[in-house]
Amino acid sequence: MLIVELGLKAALVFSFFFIIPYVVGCLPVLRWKWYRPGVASALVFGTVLLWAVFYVIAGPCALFRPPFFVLVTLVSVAWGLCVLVSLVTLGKKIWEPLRSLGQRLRRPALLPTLAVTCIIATVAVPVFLKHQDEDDAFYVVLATDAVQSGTIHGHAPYSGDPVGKSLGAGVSHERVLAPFHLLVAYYAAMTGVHPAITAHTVLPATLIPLAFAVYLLLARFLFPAREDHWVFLLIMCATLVFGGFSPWAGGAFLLLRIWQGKAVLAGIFLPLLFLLLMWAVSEGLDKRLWCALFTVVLAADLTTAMTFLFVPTLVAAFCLIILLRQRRMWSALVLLAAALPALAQGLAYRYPALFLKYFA
Amino acid sequence: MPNPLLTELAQLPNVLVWTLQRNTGEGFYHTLWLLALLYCLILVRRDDGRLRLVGMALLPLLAGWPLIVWLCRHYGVYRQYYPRFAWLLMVELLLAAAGADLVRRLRGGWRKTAALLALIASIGVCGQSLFTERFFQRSNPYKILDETIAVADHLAEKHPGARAYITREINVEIRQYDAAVLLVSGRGAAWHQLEQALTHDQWRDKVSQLMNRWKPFEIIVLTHVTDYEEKLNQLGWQVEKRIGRYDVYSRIDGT
Repeated sequence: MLIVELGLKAALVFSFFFIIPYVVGCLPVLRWKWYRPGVASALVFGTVLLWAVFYVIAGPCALFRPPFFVLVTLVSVAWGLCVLVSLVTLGKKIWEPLRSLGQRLRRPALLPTLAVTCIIATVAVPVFLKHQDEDDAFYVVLATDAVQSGTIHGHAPYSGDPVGKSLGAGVSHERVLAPFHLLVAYYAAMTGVHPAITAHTVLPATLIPLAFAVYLLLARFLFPAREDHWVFLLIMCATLVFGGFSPWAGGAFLLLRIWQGKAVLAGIFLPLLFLLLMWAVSEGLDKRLWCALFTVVLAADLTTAMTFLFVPTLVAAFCLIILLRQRRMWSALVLLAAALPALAQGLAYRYPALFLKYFA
Repeated sequence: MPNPLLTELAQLPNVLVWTLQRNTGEGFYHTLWLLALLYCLILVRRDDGRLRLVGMALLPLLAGWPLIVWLCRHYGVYRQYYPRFAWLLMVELLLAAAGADLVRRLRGGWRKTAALLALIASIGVCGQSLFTERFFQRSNPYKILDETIAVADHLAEKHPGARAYITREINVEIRQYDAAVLLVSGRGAAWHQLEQALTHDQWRDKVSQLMNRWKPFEIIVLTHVTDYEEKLNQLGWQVEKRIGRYDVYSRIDGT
C-alpha cells in the first residue's frame, strides 16, 4: 500500500514538474517561437509561463487572503487551461522535441554521459542529504501553515499566532509581493507530499535540473558545437560545487537552499534573463523576445522581493550596451519596459501604502 | 549642520569594503573570475561576439556597483542584500564560458582533456567545496531532527493548542513539521533567553521577568541539563517526558 502511495506521489511530482511544464512550454517554444525548440527550452519556458500565471493569481490572493483552497482551485483551472490550449493548438507537434532528443540519445557519446553523470551526482547530494538553514523557520513554515491550516498568511510564521485582519509584523509585505512559499504550498497540496518534504527533497530534485536546463540553453547560445555544450556544463558543475567561497555566492544558494525564492532567482532566473538579454543585444529585440523577457520578469517577481533590485539593474546594463554599441534609444527603452513588473514590485516595496492599503 | 548627501557619501567606502569582503569570501574565486573576465574581453577571437558580450555586459555592472550600493542605502534597502549583487556578476557562468572556450580552442583530444582537468582542478583549488561540512545524513524524509518530530507529535497528542517555549534547534524546525504548534519566541535573540536566564546568578528574577514579558505558556522544551531541571522544579515545572537530548517540561500543578 505504501509503495502504491509513494508511486502515485512520485508520478504526481513528475507530472507537475516535468510533464505539465513541457506540454505548456511547447506553446511558447514551438508556436510563439520565443526560443529555439528543444526539450530543455520547452521545460524552462513552460515552467516560467506557469509560474507567471501563478503569480498573477497568487499576488491578489496573498493580499486579500481568501482560503487556501481558492488559490489552489484558481491555479489548477488556469494551469489546466494552459495545458488544454497547448494540446489543442499543437496536436502531434508536441512530440517533436522529444522525438529529436530520442534520436540523439541513440548515439551515446562519452562526454555527454560524463556531464550528465556529474549533474546527477551534483543533484543527488542536496536531494539525499540534509542541509540546515535557519531561514526555513520562515519560508517552509509559511508553506506548511498554508497547507495545514487552509489559510493564506493566516498565522505568524515564528509564533503561530493568528495574524488577524491586518498582516503587519506577522507576515511582512515582502512575502505578499513575492509569494513563492504559496507555490511550494500549492505543489505540496497537489502532490500530497508534506510541505517540508516538498521543500527539502522534491524542489532540489526538480529545480536544480531546471537550472542546468537553463545553463544548457546558455551553452547553446555561446557555442555552436555540441561537444562544447557538455564541456561548459562540466565546468559549470565544478564551479557550482566549489562555489562555497562565500555564503552569498549564487552556487551556494542554488545547491544549499533552492526551496527559497531568492535561490531560484539567483540560480535560475538571473542566468535565464542574462541569456535572453544577450540574445536581444546580439540578434535584435523583437516582439517574441520581448514577450519572453516580460514573462520571465513576471515569474521572477514571484520568487523574492529582491527581484526589483537585481532584474532592473541587469536590464539597465544591457540597455547601456544597446545605447553604446547600436545607438538605438528606442530599443533600449523597449527593453527597459520588459522590466516593468520588477519596477512595479520595487514601487510597492518602497511605498507599500500606495499599493497595499489593506496592510497595517 | 552637516550635509546629509556628503555624510552618506562619506560612509559609502566602508559599506563598499564590507560588501566586497563578503563577495570575495574565502579562497581565490575572485581571481579566477577576474581572469575569466579578462579572457572574455581581450583574448576571445574578434569574430566571437557572443562570448565577448558576456564580458562586456558585466563591465557596466562592475563599474556601476558603487552607485547601486549608494542607491540601495539611500532608499533604505537592507544592508544584508548588498552582497547578493554578486549574483549579477555571473561568477559561475563566466568561469564556465571562458573555460569551455579555452578548451575548444585547443587542438587534439589529449590537450583538450588535460586542459579541462587542469581547469576543474584550479576551480577546486581556488574554491571551497559546498559538499563538505554543509550536508549531513538525514534520518527522516522531512530532513529535520527526529527529536523535533517526537516533540511535535507529543505536543499534538498531550497538549493540543498549548503554547511552548522551545529551544533553538527544535524551534527552527517544529513549525515546518506541524504548523499548529504555538511558540513563545520567534527567530532571533529570544531563542536562548530562557537558558541564559537560568544560568544567570539572579536566575529567579531573570526567569520571572521573562515569564512576565512573554505570553503565557504551558510547555518548555530545553536541552537536558540537570541544573535547568533543578531550577525549573523550584519554579513549579517538572520533566514530563525525555525525548533524546531534550526535556519536555510542564507545570507541576497542571495549569
